Parts: sequence; structure tokens; C-alpha cells
Amino acid sequence: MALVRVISSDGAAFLVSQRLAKRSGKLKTEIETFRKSSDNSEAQPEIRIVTIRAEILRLVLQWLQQHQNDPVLPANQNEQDGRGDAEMGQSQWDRDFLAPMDLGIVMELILAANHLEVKGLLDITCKLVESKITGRTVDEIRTAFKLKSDFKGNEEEQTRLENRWCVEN
Amino acid sequence: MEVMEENHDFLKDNREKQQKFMNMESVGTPNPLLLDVVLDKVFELLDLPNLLNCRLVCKLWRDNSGLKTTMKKKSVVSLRGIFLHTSTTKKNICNYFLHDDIIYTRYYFEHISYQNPLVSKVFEVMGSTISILQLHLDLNQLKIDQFRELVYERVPNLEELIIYNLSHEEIYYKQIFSDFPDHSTHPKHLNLKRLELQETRSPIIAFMTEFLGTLPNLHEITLKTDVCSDWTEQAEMWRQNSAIVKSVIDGLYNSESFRTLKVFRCGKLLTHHIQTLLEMGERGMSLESLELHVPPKETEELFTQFLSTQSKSLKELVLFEQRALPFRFKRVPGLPPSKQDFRLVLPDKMEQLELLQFSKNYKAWMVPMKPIEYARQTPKLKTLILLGKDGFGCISDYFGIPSKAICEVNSVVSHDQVSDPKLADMLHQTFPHLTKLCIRYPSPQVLTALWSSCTRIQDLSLYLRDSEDFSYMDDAMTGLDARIIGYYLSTVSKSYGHLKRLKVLGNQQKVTCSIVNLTDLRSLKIFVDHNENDERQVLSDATVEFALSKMHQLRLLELYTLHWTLGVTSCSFFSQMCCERLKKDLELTVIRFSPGDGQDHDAEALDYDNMLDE
Repeated sequence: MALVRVISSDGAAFLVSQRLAKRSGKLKTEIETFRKSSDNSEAQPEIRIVTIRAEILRLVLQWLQQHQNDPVLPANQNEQDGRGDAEMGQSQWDRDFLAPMDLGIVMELILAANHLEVKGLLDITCKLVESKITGRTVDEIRTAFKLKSDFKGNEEEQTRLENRWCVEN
Repeated sequence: MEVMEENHDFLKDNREKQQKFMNMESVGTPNPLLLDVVLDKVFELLDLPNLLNCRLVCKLWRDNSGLKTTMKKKSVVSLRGIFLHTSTTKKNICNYFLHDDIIYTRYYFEHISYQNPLVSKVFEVMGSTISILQLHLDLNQLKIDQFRELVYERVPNLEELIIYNLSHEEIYYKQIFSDFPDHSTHPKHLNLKRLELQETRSPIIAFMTEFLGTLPNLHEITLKTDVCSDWTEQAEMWRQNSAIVKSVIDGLYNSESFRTLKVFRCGKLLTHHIQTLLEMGERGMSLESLELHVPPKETEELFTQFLSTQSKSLKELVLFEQRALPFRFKRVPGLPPSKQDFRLVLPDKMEQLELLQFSKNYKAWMVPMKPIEYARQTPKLKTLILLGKDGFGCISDYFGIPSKAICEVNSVVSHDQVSDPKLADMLHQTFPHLTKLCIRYPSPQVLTALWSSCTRIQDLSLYLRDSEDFSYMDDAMTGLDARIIGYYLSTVSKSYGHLKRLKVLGNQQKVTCSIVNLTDLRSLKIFVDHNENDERQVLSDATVEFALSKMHQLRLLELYTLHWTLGVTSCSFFSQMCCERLKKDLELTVIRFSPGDGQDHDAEALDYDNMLDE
């Protein structure tokens, strides 16, 4: 089995089958780049991911492993199909997988999924964020996601006024 | 094993890493919720109220382009249309339209004339963004020169123009739109593609001829005329002269726009109109969609000739009888239509035809047709719509000549009270590909026969609806109980497993009985009749408990209430508690309640109109 060595920002190494690694767009490109630049076709590629720490990388790999047999979804599917697939894609396993994480981890996971180009994982994590936004007040959203209001003067009030035009009628 | 970890030391200091996120900004890791790529994805999933909330979180969110696009997509927000009719105060106009860079919703003006300086200002500011304009001439008090200024100068990018009351009594007698001055020197409106004339009754031939002459790129004309007019004189005039159709057809004939016309929906046509259409067809008009009142008997041949000129383009043909003729008897199965009836004779081949419809209202009669060989004559036909009182009564007309070739029809809609089990066999023989079926009051025998012959059916719409006038008679006539339907439906879903979509119309007891046991459904749409006097909760909690919460395969549940005149109305379906429970039980299901979100809701309402057209 062809393997690839993936190293996290804090130096932990994971030996991953190339078949699995290639389900990440980023790793796939890296492996191919390595192949082209290396004379020895047997050499084991080594990829350093400087932005992702071990704990997060492990979660991504864990998710990939669980979903290794899912069909790869085309990136540009239309809205309706996309929704349907997202509904289907979120299995019980995914829910159990995400359940114990705190938002900090989820945030890191989103970044990782985005960086490694793992669409399915990005979908379910974004969905989770969506569920945290839905029904919350502005302040609750700011607190939950550690965002600071940068409105100056009456800008926030102005935006609130603009919003009124949309909800009336 | 696909993943191996080489060492585990890195997990030691977890807490410290945890801290890292808390102090994210200070250590320089970007907060993912400030990245466009993440935000775009998240915002796409949110609904309008929550999106509006998000605009208030911070500037970066407010100005995120994904948020803006999603908002436009999800709200009834429209930069495109101004509808000059319902009420709004002058102050509101200022608020809504005279700001820069705001999102406009659809707004309505009523009893505000075009002369009003505010309205003029609106057009000055917004004019070039408007692509749909709806004018109520009797309320807008528009004079012909103002009409011209408005349409040609103020809204240069207009694509769709809807005019109400073009020949309103007052307008007609004042002769305001008697003609269109200086039309020959007038610049042409190149963007206008769709023209709809509503409640137009009297002839405005000169105006129409000249107006249409300035619209070279017109694609679609829809004429809706109010036959049951309270203005008796005009209604009679319409019946005798079919004035508006004459205006439009003559107008088209003399202009260039007939060349680009793709969709033509109109009312009654007289012999010379059919003759004119034939000539236009021969000169190069190729329609994709044609909808008209049944032509006069003596034009049978002419109409077939006209259709031959359209055989390479026509995709949809809808013929209908405007209202039920009181003197006609329901046709007995097997009997040919009477000698007075117009009978549709399709030409040898209609290459593109996909939809064929023979009435628009289940209370009206269906237009008879000479039986055809679908597979040869209409190789692309997919949908056959047989609404109307005759329904399967004149079954031999529509089921045509059986042929060995395979016919593509996969959808049949009928509103007849179906009781003859032979129907199932005929359906199967003529349309072996049938996957969608829509029937009204099928008898148990028909259902049984259907299950054994048409096994491909996946999508079934059953109308269990009590009609207003005969509610007490319907059950008596068909001897049908919703329980029986429920029983048969559950049998079919167990033994065939093909049934994936079901649409039920009916009162709540009937609906509940018929869907219980259908645990394999993927999609379910329920319309419930609703009267103003009824309690606000239209389906009982028992429906949830006994039927809905057990449908674990369900992915789309749509619940709508219908009022017999108001259409889709807003109403609560279950008790609040029960609703919450349902959402929990059906975690994977998208649930839509009426009135639903704007656009979808419109679509549903339209769909329903098309089906019943009451």
C-alpha cells in the first residue's frame, strides 16, 4: 500500500495511505507535485502542513477514513442538489463526531478542511456553525464566535434601519 | 488501517492549545469566521431573518458579498419590479426608493398617479434597474403620452410589461388609447420580451397594431380576458368579436414582432384569426408554446395546417373550453364526439411537442381529439393533461392507437372521477413509461388495477378534495372512503416500493387516513382545505403521531393550507409542541409550511392554479 507521511505544525507524523490522502484536494496536489519532482517513484512523499496542529489533523484524517468510500461530489453542484446531498451526507457518525467538540475546535477544523480542500467536512462544519447562528441574537453570535463589533458611531443603528426595509411587508 | 500515528506526544499539552483559540487574534491565527470562503458557505445556509441579524455583527460580515447575494436570493427582495398598484404612503416611497445602496423589496402603489412627483422621482432614480412593470391603467391615470414616456424613456431595460385594464370602460370611451401617435418615427423598445394584458375587453386595434410595431423582440404575449365581466355590454362584445385577440393578432400581423414570438396565450379565436395565424406561420413565425380557446368547428382543417407550420418548434399545446357548456352531455365512453364539436387533428408529426393539454378546469369539457399514435406522431411527448368533466369518459380520443414503439409520456394528469379499472390497462399499454400520475377520486378497483399494471409509478397525486358544491355527493358517487385509499396506498408502497412522492389534497381526516402506513415515502406534499371559520390548527396532532413521525425516509415535507378563493393561506398545522416534536423526529427532513418563503410559495400557488384553475 502506497503511503504518504503527513506532518502537522507541531511535528506529529501520520502515515496515511495515498488513496485516502488523495481525497483531500490539497494533499492530492502535493502528492502529485512530489511525484513529478522525485526521480524515485518508490519514494514515500512527506508533506508538512504548517497551519494545522496534530489534534486537528487527526480529526480530519479520522473523518476522511470514515468517509473514504463516499462518492466524490463535484464542487459546483447546483443549490438544490447541494442541499439534498448535505442532508444525506450528515450521517449519525458525523453527528457523533462533531458533538463533543467545542466551537474552538470546530473553527480550527473549518480552517483545516478549507486548507486541505475536504469539501464534505467543510460542509458539515459550516452547517454546525449555521445552527449556532440560527435563532441567536447579535450579541450571542459575537460572543460565541469571538467577533468584535467594529461599527463606529451610528453605523450599527444605520444597518438596523436598512434591515427594516427588508422585513416589512 | 489507512492512518497510523507515529507518536502520541503531541496530545500532552492539550489545554495550552485550547487557549490558543481563545487568544487567536493576539497570536495571529485568523478567525475562520472572518474568511470569505467560510462565510460564503455559512451564509448560504441561513434564512433571511438570521441573515439580517448577521449584518449587525460586524462590518466585515455586513459587507460580505456572499451575504448580499444570499439575501437577494432568499428574500422577496427584488430590484427588478415595480408594481404600480397597492397602497403605500408617500413617506414610505421616500424611505424605500430614494436611498443609495439599499435593498429594495417589491413595493406597490395604489391610487397614485404617475404625475405624482414622488412616483416620477422613483422612476428617475430606479428606472434603469426595473425589468418588470405592472400598470393598472384605471388607477394610474396614465395618459397616452405619459404611457409612452414611462415605457420608452423611464424604463429602458424593461423586459416584462403587464397592463391591467387597457380597455377599461372609462379609458375606452375617453378614447385615450385609441391609437399610438407618431409610432412610425418612434424608437423601438428592444428589451421588452414579455407582454401581458389583463382584463382587456374592448377592441383597441389601432393602438395594438402600432404599439406592437415598436416591440421587435417580443417573445411572449399573454391575454387574459375576464369573460364573466360585470360590464355586460363589453363581455358580450368580447364574445362576439373576440376584440382583444383581433387587436393583438392584427397588430402582430402588421409588425415584425411575430417573427420572434415564442409563446402565445390567448382567448377565443375566430376563423379569420386562424387564417391569419396560418399565414404568419407560413411567413416564418415559430411558436414554442400555444394556448388558446377551442377554435371554431369549421377551422378544424385550417388549424391542423397551422400546426404543421409549427411542427418543428411547438413544445406545448393547450386547448381549452372557456366555460362548461350547460347543454352538453357528458360523453359516454367509446362514443365519438358530436358533429358540432371541434376536434383536434394533430398533423402527421409534431417533432418537439412535450406537453398536450385538453382543458384548464376540471369543471369544463375537454376538447376532443382524433386518436393519434403517440410514439410516431409526438415522439417527445412527456406530459398529457386531461383535466375536465369528460375525463376518461372520452378515453378513446386520448389514448390513441396502441403501437409497439415506445412512447415517452411519463406523466398523466386527470381530474375525472375514475372508476373504470380498464383505465389502468389502457394507461399501461399506451404509456408504458408512466411514472407520474395525478388522479381525482380513483375507485379502489382502479387503484388495485393500477398497482398491478403500472408498477413504475413513483409520483402520485391524489385529489381527495371535497369540491365545494358537491361535497356531500362525492363520496356517494364513487363509494370511496379515504381509509380504503390509505389501505391500498400502504399495500402498494410495501409490495412495490416505487412510490416516492405523494401529493394529497383533502380534508384532514382523509389525509391522515390515507398516509398512515406510508413509511417509505421520500417526499410528501399535503394541501388541506381550509375555511375562514375553521379553527386555526388545520391538521390534528394525531396526524403527526400516527403517520408523519414514522416516515423516516422522508426528505421533503410540504404542508400547505388552501382557501377556496384565497389560495394558499397562512395557518398553523399542529400544536406548537407537536411541531417541535415533529422537527426533532424528522431531523433529516426539510419541512416547509405555508406560506413558506416567498418564491417557493408563489410557485406552489401557481402550480395549484394550473391544476385546478377554479
